[in-house]
Amino acid sequence: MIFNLKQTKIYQAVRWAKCPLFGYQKTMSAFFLLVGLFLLSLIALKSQNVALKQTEMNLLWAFIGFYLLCLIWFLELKLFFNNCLLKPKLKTLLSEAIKDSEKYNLAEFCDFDVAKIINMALKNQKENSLILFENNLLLGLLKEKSEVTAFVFLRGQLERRALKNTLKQKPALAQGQTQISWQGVVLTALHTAHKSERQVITSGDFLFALSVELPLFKQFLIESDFTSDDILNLVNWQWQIKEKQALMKKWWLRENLSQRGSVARDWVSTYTVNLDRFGVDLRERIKKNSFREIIGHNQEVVLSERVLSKTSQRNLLLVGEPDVGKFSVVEKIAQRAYAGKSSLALNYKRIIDLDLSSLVSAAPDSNGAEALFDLCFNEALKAGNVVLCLKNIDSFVADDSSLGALNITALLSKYLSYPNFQVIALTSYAGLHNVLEQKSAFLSQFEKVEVKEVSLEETLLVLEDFTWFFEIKYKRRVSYRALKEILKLSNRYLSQLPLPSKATRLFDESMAFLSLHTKDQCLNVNHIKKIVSEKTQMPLEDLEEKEKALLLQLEKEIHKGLIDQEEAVKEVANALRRTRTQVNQKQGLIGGFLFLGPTGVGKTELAKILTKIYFQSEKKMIRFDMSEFQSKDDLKRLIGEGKTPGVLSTQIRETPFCLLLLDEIEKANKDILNLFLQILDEGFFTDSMGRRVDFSNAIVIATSNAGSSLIRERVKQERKPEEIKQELIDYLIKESIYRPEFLNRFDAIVFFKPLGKKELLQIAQLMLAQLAQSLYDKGIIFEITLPLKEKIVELAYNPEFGAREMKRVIQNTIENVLAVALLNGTLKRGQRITIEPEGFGIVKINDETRMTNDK
Amino acid sequence: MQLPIIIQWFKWHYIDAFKGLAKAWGNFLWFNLEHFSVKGLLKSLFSYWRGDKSSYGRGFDPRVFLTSFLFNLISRILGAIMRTTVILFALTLEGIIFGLGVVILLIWLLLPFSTIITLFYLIGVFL
Repeated sequence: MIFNLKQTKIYQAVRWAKCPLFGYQKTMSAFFLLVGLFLLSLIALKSQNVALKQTEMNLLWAFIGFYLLCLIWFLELKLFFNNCLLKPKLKTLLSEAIKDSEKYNLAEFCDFDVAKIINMALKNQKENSLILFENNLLLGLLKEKSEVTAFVFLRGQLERRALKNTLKQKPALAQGQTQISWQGVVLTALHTAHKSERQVITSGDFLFALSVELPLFKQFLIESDFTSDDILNLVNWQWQIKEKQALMKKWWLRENLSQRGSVARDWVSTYTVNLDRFGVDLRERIKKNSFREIIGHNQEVVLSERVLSKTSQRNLLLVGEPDVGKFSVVEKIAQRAYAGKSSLALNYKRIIDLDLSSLVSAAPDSNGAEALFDLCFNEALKAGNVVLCLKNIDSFVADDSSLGALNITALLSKYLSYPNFQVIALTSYAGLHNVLEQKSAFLSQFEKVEVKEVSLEETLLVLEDFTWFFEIKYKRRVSYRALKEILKLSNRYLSQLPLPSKATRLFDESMAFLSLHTKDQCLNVNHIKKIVSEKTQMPLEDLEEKEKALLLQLEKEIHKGLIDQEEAVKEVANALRRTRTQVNQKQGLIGGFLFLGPTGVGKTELAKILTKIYFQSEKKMIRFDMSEFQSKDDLKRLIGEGKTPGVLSTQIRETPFCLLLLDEIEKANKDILNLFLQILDEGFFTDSMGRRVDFSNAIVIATSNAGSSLIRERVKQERKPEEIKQELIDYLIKESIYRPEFLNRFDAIVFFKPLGKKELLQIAQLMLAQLAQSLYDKGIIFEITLPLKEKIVELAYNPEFGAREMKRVIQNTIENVLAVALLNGTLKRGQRITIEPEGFGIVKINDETRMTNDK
Repeated sequence: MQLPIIIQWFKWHYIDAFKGLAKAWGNFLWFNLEHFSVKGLLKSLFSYWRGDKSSYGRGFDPRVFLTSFLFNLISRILGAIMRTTVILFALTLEGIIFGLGVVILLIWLLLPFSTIITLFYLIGVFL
């Protein structure tokens, strides 16, 4: 690799920058301004008839002439330095140098800032050879004057001083540390510049390269919870801003001039009074927003322009989820047409967003509305330079027989057949499937383009673009970490909206929260967590740390409420740990489990405990008794039919953070099992209204009693749990109760063994302890005795129903007696009691002092 | 091998910067014609004013024909007047931009020489 800075043109600029004329342009400008003001005041004095001699006057004019001459030359040399010396012409393009980097002096591709910093680092290296050159380079970049470094460290909330100190404290390589490759740094910077479509290597590229190659910097980033990719994102963000500003300054470029639009272009077209009344000309919006950049949807724009530029069938139907950005596509087309950058057929056309709702509300009845539609469409047709944008077209062409409903299918179809009439119609997938696809003749007049959700990378750019607007509006600063958190949390937790809408809405809400409810000047990660936490009712603020701790001791937590079933608990805990740490790179659900075992062994109890532990509330459990879904038609009840939403889709959309419990799944219809197969596999399904129902924040647990008799039999034979489990699975497949692919979709198939008397005693203790707690809250101490527990177990034990009867037995024997005693006043606050096991009578223990002490 | 700074400046002043100025000048000339849609106005010089025309209807009714004919004629004449006005205004402006461009380019070309002359003049005044 050749890297010889002194042999480059940019090095000349570095040397000339030391000349005060070039290096101190701001000081020189201030000097000229002051002298200019002084001369102006002299001229003002002269105009107030202050007597000056002829020679003095000559001298004054000569001085003014000299001043003007110097000013002109100062400006000329400033232009020469900034446009010629600072930006030397490169003989080779950076893209060519990448292909054969050995052949070229790569220093040629450095910009002025990089050249200056490298030159300084080289000098420092000469003075103190012990300091690593790359450290010197980074120290140079960290200097206040480096715009990009200031931006990266400020937005990234990184401690510049801390890094500087580290670099100064550890200037040389530590023992055993590998030598840093200068070649690696340069080549990384070169490739970064190329990937980011820059023609020169900037200081930002070197900052990124050092974050990849320099161990000290890498370590600093790890400690600051930052990555080199974040550095690159910030470098590119700053670069984009700089480029935009530079472009805006060059107002004489065609690109900028064309944004001023044109007059008289519409003079060939007719007036459009009604369209102007009920529609918004997107050109006006473009002028006001001074060409707001619309990020993403490039492919959709290309396809749409192609459709709109055709000679026949040039009506466009944009289909996509609500808020996915269909209108952004229209805006982008309008921007391009306004600036004359689109096709010849589209350039300078008026794209009018017709407000169909206001048009309908302006009419006295549906006939009047239809007449207004006719007027508007007729104006658009006659004008010849109009493209109509009709949002939610499905709402106005639906065959709805209800009173006042409007259907403009016939009217619109008539106009769509005219070659001069062009429409961009917007609809959702639900609208397409439920309404438009029923009208094949109408639909055939459109060319369909699907609008997809923008990527995470594009959403980050959108957020960066919104940052300036929100910072000005709310007078608060935004950190890059906050933007990343908005992206991460909106993508993970706000599943009902597509990107970028959910991210920008969260951004807006967070900024409003920051300015209204806090005195903080900067939006950071915790604010975002708080907002999302409030929206989702999930304790997100320190969820990550809490969740980690919880997952590590999940078994212990579960066993606080569940007796025995060690293997089952372990399996669930392991599967959850695997899923949450993304060891198995699974998409979709938090976890999917099938609990197999006889009745009353704790399957539902474990689900309840998991809900409480994981989602902090038992209310987050959505429970379906699958025996209610035995026929094929019951599928409609789950996913909805037509415009009627399904119970499953509604509940999941309302409570996306939940544990979905499917009791007795073996009783459900096979088609319903297929639905759950998709949910377990993909983590979502599409309901009858075409909406995506997302399960990515849900745990799905299916319970099944199938094969209970086999389990009991094998337990009697004292077979090992693993053997029973395998035999049970084989049995379920053999008997066609479940298909193997269905079973394979679960993260774990958990086997619950039947409970013995020993376990039932522990369960009795657990249940009686709960009762004792509620009595304690009333000021009564209830002592649980072993004979009482044994009696409860004796009455409740049934090999068929496990511990299911126990709750009923406790209710009938103990709770009823206690309730009567509380009502008739025999049981009072401060008493210590127990229940005698034979007759279930209350026995008072007269030891009030002990109770006080206990309290 | 790098050129001496004075040669570089000379090259920049008379080639690069001059090209840049000429290009900006071209942009203004282009933008003026585009902004006033001169090409479009010339193409539709005698078109109806705002596409406003009267239909002759079916069959032949001399009264309707005459009314429509007169209305359409007036619409076309009005259109032509309006368009011609804008075209003339745009062309005048084009001429001004052209003239200004020539003057600016000449000043740019003569700047080094005029400096020397002014310098000599000023020295004369001071002496």
